[in-house]
Amino acid sequence: MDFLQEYIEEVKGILKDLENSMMTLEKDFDDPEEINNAYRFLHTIKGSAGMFEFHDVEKLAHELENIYSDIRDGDRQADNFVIDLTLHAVDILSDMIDGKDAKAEAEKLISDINELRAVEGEARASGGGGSEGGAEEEDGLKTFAVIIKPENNIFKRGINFESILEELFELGKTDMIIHNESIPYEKQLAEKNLVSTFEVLLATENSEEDVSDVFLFMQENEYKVIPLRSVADFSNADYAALITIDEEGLERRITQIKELNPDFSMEATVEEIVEETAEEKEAKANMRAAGAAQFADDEDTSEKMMQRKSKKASTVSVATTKLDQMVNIVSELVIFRSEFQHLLDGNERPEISEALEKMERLILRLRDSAFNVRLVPLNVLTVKLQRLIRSVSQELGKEVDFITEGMDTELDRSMISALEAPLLHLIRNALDHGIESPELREKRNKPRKGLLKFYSYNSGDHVFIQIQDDGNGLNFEKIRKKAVEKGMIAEGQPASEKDLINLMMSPGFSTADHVSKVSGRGVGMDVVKKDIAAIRGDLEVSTEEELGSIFTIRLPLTLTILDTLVVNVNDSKYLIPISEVEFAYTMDHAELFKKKSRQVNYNGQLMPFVSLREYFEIEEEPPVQETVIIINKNDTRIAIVVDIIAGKLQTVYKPLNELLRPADCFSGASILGDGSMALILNALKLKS
Amino acid sequence: MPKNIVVAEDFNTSRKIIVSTLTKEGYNVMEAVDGKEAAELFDGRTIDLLITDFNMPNMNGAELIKAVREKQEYVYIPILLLTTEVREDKIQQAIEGNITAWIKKPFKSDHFIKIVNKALR
Amino acid sequence: MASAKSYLLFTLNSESFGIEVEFVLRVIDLEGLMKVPKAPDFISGALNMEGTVIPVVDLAKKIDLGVTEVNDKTKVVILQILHEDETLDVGVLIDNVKDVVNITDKELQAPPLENMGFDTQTLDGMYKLEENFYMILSAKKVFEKELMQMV
Repeated sequence: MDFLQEYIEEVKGILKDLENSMMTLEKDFDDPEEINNAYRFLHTIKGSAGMFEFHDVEKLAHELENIYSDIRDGDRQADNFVIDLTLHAVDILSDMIDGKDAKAEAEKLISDINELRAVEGEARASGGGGSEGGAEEEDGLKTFAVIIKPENNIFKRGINFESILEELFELGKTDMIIHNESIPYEKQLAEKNLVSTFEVLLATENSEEDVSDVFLFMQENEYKVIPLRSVADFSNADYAALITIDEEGLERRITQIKELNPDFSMEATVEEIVEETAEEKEAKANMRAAGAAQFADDEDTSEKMMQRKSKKASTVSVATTKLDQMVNIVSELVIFRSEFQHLLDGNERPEISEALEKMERLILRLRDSAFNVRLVPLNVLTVKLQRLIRSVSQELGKEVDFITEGMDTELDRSMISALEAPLLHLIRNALDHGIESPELREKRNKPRKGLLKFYSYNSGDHVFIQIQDDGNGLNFEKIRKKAVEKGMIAEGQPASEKDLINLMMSPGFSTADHVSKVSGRGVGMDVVKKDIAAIRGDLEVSTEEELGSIFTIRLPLTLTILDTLVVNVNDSKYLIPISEVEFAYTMDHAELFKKKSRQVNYNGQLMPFVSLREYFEIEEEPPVQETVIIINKNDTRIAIVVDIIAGKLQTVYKPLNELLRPADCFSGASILGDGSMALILNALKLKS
Repeated sequence: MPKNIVVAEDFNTSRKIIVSTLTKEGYNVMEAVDGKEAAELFDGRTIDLLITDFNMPNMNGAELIKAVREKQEYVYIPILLLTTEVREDKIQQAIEGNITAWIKKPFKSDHFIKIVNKALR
Repeated sequence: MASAKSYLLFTLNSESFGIEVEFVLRVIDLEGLMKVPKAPDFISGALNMEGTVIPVVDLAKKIDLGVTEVNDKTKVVILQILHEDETLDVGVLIDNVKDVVNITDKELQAPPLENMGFDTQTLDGMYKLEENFYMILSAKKVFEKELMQMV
C-alpha cells in the first residue's frame, strides 16, 4: 500500500511537470526540449501505470505519447490544440489516479486523439493538400541533403549533368559542396568525365518526390535524397554511406542549412541523440521488469529524466566577445608555455620535455580550433560565384574565363555573409556591363573569351578583395549623361572621373540602358557600397576605357588573426606582425649607441634605427643588451630597437577608435589572456 | 528555335501518336520507320533528341543507338528508348549505358512529354 | 511640464559635475590601464572592456581643469556617444560618483560665461542641488573635435 501511495504522489508530480511543460511549449511550439520532456513524462506515467493496474491511465498516456513521438519525429507540429488536449488529459489522468471514475471522459479524449492523428495521416498521404492547419502550409519549407555520385561517363547517356544541377538549384535555396574535386569541376565538365561527388543542401517548398523527380534519368545508385529534419539526420546511415562528415564539417553544414532555412531544427547534437536512445532503452528495460521490487529502478529512471530536463541542447550560439575571450586565453597559454620552457632551461629531465611537447601540441590544437570557430575562408563562396558566372554568361551569350586567387583568405563569418550580396552583384555587373560580347571583343583585338579575376589577400591591417575584368571599362560619357538626366549634376558642369564614379555609387543611379534581367534588379552600386560600408569596408574603382575595370573592396582586419612577435619595451608589451619581421638580433646598448649616426649594419647596408625607448620617451635606464628588429613591410625596411623579444603570439586584432588614432604608430591592439592589452606596432609610421 | 527530334518506330499507329504528341508540344519531328532510315537522318544536321523503339527491322534500337553515338556530333545527345521489355538488365545489356532513359510501352502522354521535356532541358 | 532627463552627478578635482545618463554605459573601477605612447596628452591610456579597446581620457585635462590624480578610488565612466551613424566609446576618469538625479530643462541654469578655471564651452548648464553647483557637461561638446573627425 505504501508503494501505491508513493506512486500516486510521484505521478501527480510528473503531471505537474507536464503541465509546466505545456506552459513553456505554448510560448515556443518548436522547443525540442519541452517536446522531449512531455514525451518522457507520458512515457513514465504509462510505464508505471501498468504495474499498478491503472490500465485506463496507461492507455490514455500511451495515446498521448504517440502525438509527442510524432512531433519529435517531425511528422507533426505542436500547436495550441495539442496543448489543450494535453492539459485536458492531465486533468483526467489526475482524476483517475485519485480513483475517480473518468473512463468515459478518457475514452472520448482518446477518440479525439485518434481522429487528430488519422486526419493528419491522411493529409500527409495525399500530399498534404487542403490541410486546415495554416501554420503547416506556411512552414512548408523543407530541407534535404541531395547527394549525387554520377557515373563518370554520364554524358554518354545523353544526360546533361549541368542542367540536372540547375534544375535542382531552381527548386529552392541551395548550397553545394563538391567532394573529391581532385580535378576542378569545370575541367571535369569540359572533359566529360565526372569524378566528384556532389552534396547539395536544399531548402524548398517542394516535396521529396519533386526533388527525386529531378533525377528521373539517373540511376538509383547515383543519387540519394535525404530529408533533413534535424541535425541528427546528418549522421543517418544514408548520409554516412556516401559522405563522412567530421565535427567541423557538421558545424559547417549546420551553418549552411541555417542560412538556407532559418527554422531548421537544432534540436540536438548527434551525441545527445545517441545518448538519449541509450537511456531510452534502459528506461524501457526497466519498465518491462514488473513487480514492486523493480520499482526502485523506475524511480531511478525518473530521476534521470528530471536531470535531463535541465540539460540544454549542446548547440548554443555564443556571443562573439566570449569567443574572443577564449581565443585570447588560448593565445596567452601559448606564451605561458614558452615562458615555462624558459624557466626549465638547463635543468629539464627528458620526461618533462616530452610532456611539454605533448602539451604544446595540445595547446596548438586548442588554439586552432578556438580560432577556427570564427573564421571562414572566402572559398565557401566559390561555388556560388562559379554558378552565377556560368548562368549569367550563358544568359548573356558571353564567354568568360573565371580565375580565382587567394580564396583561402579567411574572414570573420559574419563578414562573409555580409559580403555575399555585394560580391555577387559586382560579378553580375562585370559580366553584364564589363565583359563585351565575343564579336565586339574580336573587333577590339581581344580574345573572344573575357577574363574575370577574383582575388583576395591580406595586406597590412586590411583584407583586400578585387574583382577585375578585361572588358569595356567604365564609360564616363555615359555616366555623365545619366547623372545630368537624373539631375545630379548640371549640363556642362565639370566633373572629374572620380566625381563621376562617386555619382555612380550614389542612390538612384543605374547606367543600364534597359532594365536587363541580369543586372537590372533595382539594386544599384549605391547599395553595394552601403553593404560594404556596413562591415566597415570601402569600395574603390579603377578603370581604363576598353581595357577593363578593377573593383577593390578593402575590409578592416577586425577579426583577422594576426601572428605577432611580442616585444618588451620597459614594462610594456608590444606586438609586431610576424609577416613584417625580416630579421632580429641582440646587441649591446653601448655598442649600438656608440656612433652618433645611429645606424645598424644589416647585410652590409647601413640603416638608421628607431629606439622605441627613445621614441616613447621612456626615461628609465635601458638594459645592457637590446634587440634590433629589421622590419620589412611592402618592401620598405626599417630597423627598430626594443628591449627583448618575449615570444610569439597569435592574436585577434582590435581596432583603436578615433581618440587613439593620433597615435598612428599603432595599428590596433590585442587583448592578452589575463585581460591586459598590448598595442600592435605599425612600424612604418615610426619616424626617426 | 524549335528542337529537332528524331522518332524511330516501325509500328505506324504508335509512331503517329508520338509524332502528333510532340508536334503539339511545338517540337520539330522527323520520322523514321526503322533503324536504318533513322540512322541516315543523323547526317550532321542538328538533332536534339532521339526517341527510338527497341525492336525494329533493318537495324534494331541497340544498333541504331550505337551508330548514333559513334558520330562525333551526337556523342552526348539525349536518347530515349521505347520498349515493352520489362527486364531492365536485358535492356541495360543491350544498350551499354548509352541511353538517357527508357520508356515502357504503353505510356501515358503526359508522362511521356514530361520525360521528353526533361531530356531537352 | 518640462521633460526631465537623468544625470549622473560626480566629483572631479574637488569640483562637482553632472553628465546625461543617456551617454553612460557604466561606471567601473580603474584597473588594467594600458599606456598608449604618442597618444594625445589628455589620453591616460586604454582599457579592455569585454574585448573592446576603450580609450581612457583624463577629463580634467580635456576640459582644462588640471590633471586627475589617479588613486585606488579613481573611477572610469564609460560613455557611448552617438554621432550621426557612428558611436564613440570612451572612458573618462572621475573621482567619485555622487548621485543620479532627474533635472528638467527649467532647472538647468545657463552656463557661466566667465572663465571658471576650465573650459566652460563644454557645459550644457549648471544645476543647483542644496548648496552645491553641479556643472552639467555635454558629452558631445567635450568630444566635439573627435566626433567631427569621425564622420
